[in-house]
Amino acid sequence: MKLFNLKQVFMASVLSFVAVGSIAQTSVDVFPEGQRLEYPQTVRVEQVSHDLLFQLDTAKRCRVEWANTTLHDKTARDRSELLALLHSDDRANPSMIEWVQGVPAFSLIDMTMDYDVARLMPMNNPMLSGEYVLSRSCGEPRVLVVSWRQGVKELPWRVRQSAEMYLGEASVELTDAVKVFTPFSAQTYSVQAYDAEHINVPKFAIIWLQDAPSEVSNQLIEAELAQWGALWHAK
Amino acid sequence: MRKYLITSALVLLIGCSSSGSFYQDMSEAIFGKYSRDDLFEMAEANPYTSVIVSVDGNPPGFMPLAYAETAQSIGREPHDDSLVLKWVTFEKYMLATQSGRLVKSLHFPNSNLVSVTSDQPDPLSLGLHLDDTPKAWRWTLSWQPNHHESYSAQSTFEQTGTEVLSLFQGDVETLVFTEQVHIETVDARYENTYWVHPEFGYVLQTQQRLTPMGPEFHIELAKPYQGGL
Repeated sequence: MKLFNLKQVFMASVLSFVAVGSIAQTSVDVFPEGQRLEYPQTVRVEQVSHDLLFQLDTAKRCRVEWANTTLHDKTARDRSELLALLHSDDRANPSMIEWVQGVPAFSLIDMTMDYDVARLMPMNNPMLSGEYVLSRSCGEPRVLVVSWRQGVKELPWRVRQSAEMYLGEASVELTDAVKVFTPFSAQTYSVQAYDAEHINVPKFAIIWLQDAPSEVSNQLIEAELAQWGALWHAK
Repeated sequence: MRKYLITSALVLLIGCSSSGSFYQDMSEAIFGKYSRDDLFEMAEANPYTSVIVSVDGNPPGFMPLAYAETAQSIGREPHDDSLVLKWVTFEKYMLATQSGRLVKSLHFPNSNLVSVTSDQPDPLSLGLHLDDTPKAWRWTLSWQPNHHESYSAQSTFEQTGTEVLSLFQGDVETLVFTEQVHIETVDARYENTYWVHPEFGYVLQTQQRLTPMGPEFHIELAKPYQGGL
């Protein structure tokens, strides 16, 4: 008597294949240096932060600042709608189109990568599985002023400089709706509200003149900026 | 004896899940309920390295040492071999000290120190008790909230006296140094104090501000880790 028939053997093979396939491999590309951390299985945030600090040569050349270190899911987001709008609008500034195309379209994972925070608080130390990009600031800190019509201007970051001062430095024509995007947070402020509550604009913040031609395109560009992470300066 | 057992149990809970009501009850029981002397007795009965911390003169708390790591663990290139000591409360508040200086904090209400950096070695790590240690230092600090990043600070150190401290290992005569900190950008001036071992130079006790306008921390070594704070 045969213990297994062919069908059972086939099914077992398929299930084994699926089981092996489900053992996740995790990779984390580190921007801007281009090094890669690889793990045979799922990995905790704590381990990735540890390896950034202790394993990579990059961390020795450029100080790790957790406030400017962001993690992105490498699953590409669809930005074709936004690009189509930009291309169809004559008043869209070409540097805006170039900027949107140039920033990698990865989804920001909203969590701090701080090594101590991750290992002290279990809720901040989830499992990662898949492909990620870890982006961090290296080099001179900057602030971006982004406008649909007036383009993208990079300015050097300065301590105790208000959002309004950055707008003045960028010499942009002001609109009524101006927002500040701070790193790590999708929370936005009007420039007036931001400057009333804060003394500093954080490094790598984005100040956005909400001057896209319609509510839809404003929402699209806002969604894009909310995902910015630290990627724009890692290009 | 019961409170020593409680403390030991709580120390073992560091790094474990803290969702249980038992943990919460015990955390609340420890902070603000015992005197400094009681906490020192607890530290003595406990096998772990620890400090007694009070903030702005409020009742003290007990902070065991959770990690002793190189400066790389806070994203800094080490100028020397001095370790970063990370002290953690049961509520997961964290203070990190290096050579007795606060260099990072987490989860404290109101304000937290994000980083302290310098191209020069900290005179505290060189040993303030030595004549040839520079008594001036330029450094940079960042704190939250409000994204206070990369403020340049200038410190000068001066010995202001000697004092005998009653510590775990007995009475120790210390050199008392004050550090005058000036942050030009915000025109902030404040003073930190360090009680330094006269022979080995490590800091046994300190009173220092976490941030220029922030709370003042008084930190006493309860049970030492290879020397000082």
